[in-house]
Amino acid sequence: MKDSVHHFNALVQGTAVDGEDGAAPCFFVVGDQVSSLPGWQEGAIALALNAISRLSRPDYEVPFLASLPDTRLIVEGM
Amino acid sequence: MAWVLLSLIGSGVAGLTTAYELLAQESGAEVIVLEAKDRTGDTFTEDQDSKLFGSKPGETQVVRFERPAGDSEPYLNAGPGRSPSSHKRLLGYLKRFGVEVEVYVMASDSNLTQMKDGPLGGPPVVNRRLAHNGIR
Repeated sequence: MKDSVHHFNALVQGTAVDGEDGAAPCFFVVGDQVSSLPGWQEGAIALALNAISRLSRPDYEVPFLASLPDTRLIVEGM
Repeated sequence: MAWVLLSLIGSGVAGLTTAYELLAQESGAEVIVLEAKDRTGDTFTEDQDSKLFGSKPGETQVVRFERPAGDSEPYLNAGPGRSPSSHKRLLGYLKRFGVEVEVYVMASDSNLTQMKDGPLGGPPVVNRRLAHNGIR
């Protein structure tokens, strides 16, 4: 779970062509599935706007999430 | 902006939002949207005419309604539902693009709650009474 949070926070920042740290990101995975609102259109939109923001101002990072929603719990319940 | 061409894979909500903002913000980017299906919008669809709507790739679901005499025209809204008022970004786009929406009542204070046993055993109780008066 700890790794998934780290992976998510890195993923939403986007990736540069050569994958080097510090380079401006130009590849993004966007969609509700990789948002903090999986299953909601609001999540898809939020990720799209995050990507736009990063493209425009790569010096600003998308705020890190401390934890991710448990999608299994959301879908299957307690 | 340093780029001239930006390609988006998929014309769902995220892809179209990205494309729209790139153009609306006059970023100077040339935008190409790639879509595998024969329509855009992904989950954003509806079937007002009770005809067909796509299911899994290669499959088609057929929706048919019986229409009782004197009843209003039935239809299936196969699009997204339950968009809460807190989803400001989505509602903002719906307003901007003049998308017609309809109220979807998930729960009402007039809904009835009934339990087989326990404090609500017995006849059904309206929710407003549960919320405001408690159980006696």
